Amino acid sequence: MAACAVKRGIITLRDCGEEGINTCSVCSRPVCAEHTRMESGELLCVECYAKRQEDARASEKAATKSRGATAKSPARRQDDDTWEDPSWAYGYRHHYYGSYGYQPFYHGHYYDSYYDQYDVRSFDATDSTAAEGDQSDAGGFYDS
Amino acid sequence: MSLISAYRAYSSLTGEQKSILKEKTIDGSRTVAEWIALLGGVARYDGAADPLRQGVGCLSAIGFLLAFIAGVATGSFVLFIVVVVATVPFLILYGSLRRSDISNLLREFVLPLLALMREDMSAEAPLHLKLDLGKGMTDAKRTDQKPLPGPRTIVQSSYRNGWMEGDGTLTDGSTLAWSIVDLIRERKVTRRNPRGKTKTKVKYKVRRMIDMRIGLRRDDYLLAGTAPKGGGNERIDVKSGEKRNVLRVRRVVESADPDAILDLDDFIGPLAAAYRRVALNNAEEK
Repeated sequence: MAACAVKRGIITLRDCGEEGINTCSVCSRPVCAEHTRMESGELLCVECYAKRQEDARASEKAATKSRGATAKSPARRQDDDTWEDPSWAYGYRHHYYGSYGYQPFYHGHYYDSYYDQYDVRSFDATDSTAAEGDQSDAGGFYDS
Repeated sequence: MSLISAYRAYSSLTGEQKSILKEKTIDGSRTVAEWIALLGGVARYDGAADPLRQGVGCLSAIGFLLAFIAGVATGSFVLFIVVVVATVPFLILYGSLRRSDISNLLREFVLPLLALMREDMSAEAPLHLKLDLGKGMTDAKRTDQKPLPGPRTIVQSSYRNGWMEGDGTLTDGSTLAWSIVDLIRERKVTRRNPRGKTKTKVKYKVRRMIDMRIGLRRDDYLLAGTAPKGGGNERIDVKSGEKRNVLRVRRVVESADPDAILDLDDFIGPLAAAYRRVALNNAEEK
């Protein structure tokens, strides 16, 4: 199977480096065991899982706000033990890129269009042949 | 229940973790995973002990109040002694829990930060950390104390609490070193009202300074030369070296609460600001 499509890192992104053994039911990308999460019988990549969690928190926050109460912003929840799950960092990353418009650098060989939403900055000289046959939906290697 | 969970959490601690609770300071180099394993257990104990300490503190206060009421209302010295004796174990437990209390910054900032660092550092790379998890306002950390002139009695104390330092190498080869220092100003204002009652108010002003030094390899990154877009209020100084461009970034966060938890965004912000100042060096094929 193809390489795991999940990118590690917060400030800079890099390839996971493991082999994908599952397929995410949301983004259809190959994903390794470490980056696979199971939710309601669905196999998800850790990034889609984290996004769902963040969106659920955002909805919860909006609901709390509409009731007139104050709430911490979703990703500012540092006071519970959720950081222990590796997916927490991916949720934080999604929050940070979205809130501050940060465009991470990508150092790797398996870029895919999943990260276009973050306007990733990557090397023009990335080895495009490395992705051939590995990523059916591999995107460009340039700033999107 | 919290007594049992706190006891279980304490029992599971290693000698080194117990020593951290006692000394409240840490200085060493380990991988991020090792830091998480070491500090995670300490944080779990602190998380279980905090509500217990509050509960036991309340029970101790109630016990002494009951002892006083029992002594005055019934006039029975024996009953007074019985209630006091029953309260003493709670007081001892409270004292013990207070002594082992550490800053909540460990479990609400340091460990979540390590969870992020785990993503940006390789599994084998050492991370040097120096932490002070003790109280921010102690005599040892006081830098100044003086009365202020005015109609009211005001005593101003200043404290300098450097509670975190760290350095390591990120996966892209960049070096990162940082320090976080709290400059705390405490003002105790004492005034007497017309009825002769004396009241004291304490106000705090905290300037939390997050300083970072990021060394970005010139082979990989070029200085963009433009001000960062979407950044915060940080100040950035750039020094070009032969192999690395070194960016010094400072962010200051102000607060009125000396125990305020530092938001992770305020740590990641200065780091991101440095990376916003550079562009990829595409001339150099990787």
